[in-house]
Amino acid sequence: MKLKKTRPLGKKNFFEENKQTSPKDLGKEVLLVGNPNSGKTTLFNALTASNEHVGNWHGVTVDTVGKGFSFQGEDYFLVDTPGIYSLCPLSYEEKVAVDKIEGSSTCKIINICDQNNLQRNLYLTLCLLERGLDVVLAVNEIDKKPIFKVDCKKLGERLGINVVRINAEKKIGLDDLKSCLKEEKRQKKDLPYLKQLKLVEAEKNFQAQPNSVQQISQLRYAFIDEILKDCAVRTKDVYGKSKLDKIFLNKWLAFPIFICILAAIFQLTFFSLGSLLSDALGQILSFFTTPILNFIRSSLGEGFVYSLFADAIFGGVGTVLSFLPQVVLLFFFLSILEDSGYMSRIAFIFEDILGRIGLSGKSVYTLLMGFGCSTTAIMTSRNMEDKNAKIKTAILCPYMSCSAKIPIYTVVGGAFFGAKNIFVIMGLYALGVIVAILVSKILDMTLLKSKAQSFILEFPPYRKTSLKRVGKILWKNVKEFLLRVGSVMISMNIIIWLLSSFSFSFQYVPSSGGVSALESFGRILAPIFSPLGFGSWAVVASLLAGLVAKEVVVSSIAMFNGIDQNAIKLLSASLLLPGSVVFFSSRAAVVAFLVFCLLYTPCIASISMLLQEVGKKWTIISIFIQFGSAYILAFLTYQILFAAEIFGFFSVFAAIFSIFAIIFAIFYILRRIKKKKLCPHCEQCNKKCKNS
Amino acid sequence: MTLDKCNQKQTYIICGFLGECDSVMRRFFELGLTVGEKVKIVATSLQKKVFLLEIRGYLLSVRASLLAKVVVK
Repeated sequence: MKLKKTRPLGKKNFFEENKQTSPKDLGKEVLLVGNPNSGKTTLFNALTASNEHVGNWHGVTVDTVGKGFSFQGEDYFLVDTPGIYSLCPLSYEEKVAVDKIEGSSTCKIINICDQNNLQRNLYLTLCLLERGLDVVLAVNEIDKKPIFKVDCKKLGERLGINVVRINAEKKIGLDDLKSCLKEEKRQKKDLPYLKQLKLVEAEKNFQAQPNSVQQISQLRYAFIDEILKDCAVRTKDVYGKSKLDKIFLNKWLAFPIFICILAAIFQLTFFSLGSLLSDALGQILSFFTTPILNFIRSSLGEGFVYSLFADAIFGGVGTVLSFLPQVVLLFFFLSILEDSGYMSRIAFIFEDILGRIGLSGKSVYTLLMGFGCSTTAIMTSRNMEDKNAKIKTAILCPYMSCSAKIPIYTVVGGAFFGAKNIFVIMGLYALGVIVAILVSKILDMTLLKSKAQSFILEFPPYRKTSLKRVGKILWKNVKEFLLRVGSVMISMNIIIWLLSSFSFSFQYVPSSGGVSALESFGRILAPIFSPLGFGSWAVVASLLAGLVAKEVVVSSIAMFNGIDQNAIKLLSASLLLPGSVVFFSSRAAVVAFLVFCLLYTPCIASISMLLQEVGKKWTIISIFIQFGSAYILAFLTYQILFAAEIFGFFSVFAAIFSIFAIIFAIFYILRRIKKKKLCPHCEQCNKKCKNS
Repeated sequence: MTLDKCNQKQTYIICGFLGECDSVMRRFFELGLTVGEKVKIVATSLQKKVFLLEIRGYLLSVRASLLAKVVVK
């Protein structure tokens, strides 16, 4: 089978960018459509040997993706679309799919149906057939004991189309499906309810009348019931229902269970298993890099070339590479959560809380993904129907501490706090969530007031995690991480090394003793960060470099410290960096720095994704909010902790408590005064109320 | 009685809809919430702001405020 490269379509449409190349040149266009979570992307991956993201929850695919494949000498270009329930879109992702279908009315459509939920899935099939589209129905047999046992031949006869039984996961029935793509369009068979449907549609203003619109749905469902009675046998099971939900959705157990699951993931990822693997990888890296550096040192001395390899290439990148196991573990656990079907349950239990701060339960997906990578997380915010909730969720994503920030916490925090760093890291993650809640509430009260939320979400069944699929997701993420480390990080490190090793007059600073270009630039900006406790040029330069990729922050600090390959040993050694004493005046400054890193403006990739998802205005606002909140909170952290170091923890705590008590008292008094002014009849309006 | 006022673990029959036919109501119809159909409330969230419904053999979670449009008996 001949394969072609995957091309994301959608907003940055491949065909728009390359107008010379059209789908016709790439092969016969075939659309893959179906209900959410019916297995479209799994089938896409199976047909085109791709590795697109799949998961057991609603709305994994948020944009169209295309890739070519060949079968029996004919080229096809398969386009995967986001899940839809009908041809009336409610969210952005649904609109993308419907627009694609309407724009490709002549091409073949593979309509994939989940055999367990056939009744609801066939609704979309009927919508497609009513439009006269050329449909091939693929009945996806996901489970061994499906709820519906279907006679595909009979079903095909009733609908007047080809119906093929497949198993996208196990790649069963794919050749039959491909053979159907070769066949010419069958002669259109009139669906028996079409006459009645046209009569209803002919009624005046039928779209505004609930009864008329409902009548159409009833006609379709009646026909589905009729054909399923004839062509399928149904068990009494309910799709998605499980005894596990008695525990996971229990009013009193749901939250503690969720917190325990998250705590276990964090413990395994960052500490027990994660740090063990990181140490091991660090030692392996050191084993390979030390002989090379020794060779360079013995042949060329500790000069220019040695510094380039030791500080820029091995020192910086090696430090970050040793965190690969933690990144892998985080994505592994997130993949298991996605595959299990638990994500929809999380959305359900969080809808109450998130609704209060103007978000949707669906925001949980996006925010949880934010712990992995902000860029991909921002993209998943597309599946939200409410525009304001979507913008808020996208803006809040960077507050969820992404995997790229792990090295900063572990190296810098570990060097200063040793074994107690676990509390610092947990505190940072919690702070990110708290700040996100506060920012969301403020936005909800001011710029982005939420409308009535339209939270409608289907519950998928619990499923065992496919290790093969998790392995594929992991490989994809690891590859992306390594490529980023390989390309962006090495080039950035070399640029930073050049700027920090040479002056503006191109003199090598270590031998000439001048001031490097980066130091000159850093010194200009450093006074801005002095109130935060880290007014050192090197730290400021690292933060600037972190705008390219957050991993660069720690590699830059390691490089400025001149700790070369030994930086890797720092991970477990938990010793104080000798050079860092110059960068950070106290432990309070270190915590302030970590808080700043947690909250400040995300990397360029995330900013560009924000730009694409929420537009220029909200991207600029979000950059200001993120930088502002990072600066204010780092300032407060430093001032409070510094005061605590001097005056003692309890005196500072008492002072803060007093300040909060005074603020609370002022607010309470003001609220009482305002309430007195309100109408005594309704206590909501002012005195102009008619009742008064 | 509207569906948002109903009790957990009980089965009801949909007998009508309130208000204009907006996109949410349209989505209800597409998902199978039509007149005469049986609907069971499987679970509710802690503050009863979200309901988990069993309809046409599958599970659907819906915000309670949206269910105020669905009349049941």
